[in-house]
Amino acid sequence: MDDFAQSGFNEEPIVRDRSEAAMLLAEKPKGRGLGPLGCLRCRAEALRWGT
Amino acid sequence: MPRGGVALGYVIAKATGAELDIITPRKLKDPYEPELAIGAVMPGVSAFLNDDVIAARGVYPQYIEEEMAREVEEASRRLRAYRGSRPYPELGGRIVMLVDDGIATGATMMVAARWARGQGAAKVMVAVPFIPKETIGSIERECDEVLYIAAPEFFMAIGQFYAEFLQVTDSEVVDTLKEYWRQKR
Repeated sequence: MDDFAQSGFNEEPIVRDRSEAAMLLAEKPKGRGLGPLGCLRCRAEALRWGT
Repeated sequence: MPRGGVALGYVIAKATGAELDIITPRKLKDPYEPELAIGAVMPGVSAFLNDDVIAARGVYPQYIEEEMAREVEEASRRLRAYRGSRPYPELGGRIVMLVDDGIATGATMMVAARWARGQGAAKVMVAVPFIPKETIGSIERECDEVLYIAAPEFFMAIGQFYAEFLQVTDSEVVDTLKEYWRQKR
């Protein structure tokens, strides 16, 4: 992989539109220290049930 | 966060059962390059000022004060236009997630996070699909958690990550909020 590719440049879009971005964000977010409960829907459920 | 963030916030609020609302932080523009942020403001919270940019660009304090006054007024006007006179929900002790369709400089997100903290939020989360890798650290310092889809090193514009990145209009923002509030009734 050359320096340009390693820079993270992506010629292709990652999502189709804002709705797809929102769903990905809700279901498969990335972030520091996110474990198996990274999914926002799962975390909201867990909060609701106090688990 | 208007305007694109409302479209995402609507989907996330429906997916998680969270309560959707809107805030109107405003970028403080550099006097010579309006695309460049020297900071950001929101009514009722102290401004975030990017001291490095201000020093490097030699921006005068008087300009900053005038720009802050202009943008606070504009933020208030937009807030009224988007949500009318509805009282804000009480945020004390609650989890607040600030959503936008991407972050570039992060100035408006930083002032929004400070505002949420000032409202007594128990936890402030930032959720944006795309954020420059170099910006994550500064946003993390203002909140408890930053969520994203990708944090590329090469980041020219938020729109580069979307196949379709249409401008969201003010009336679409109002319609989205009205639809959400109608369904919640």
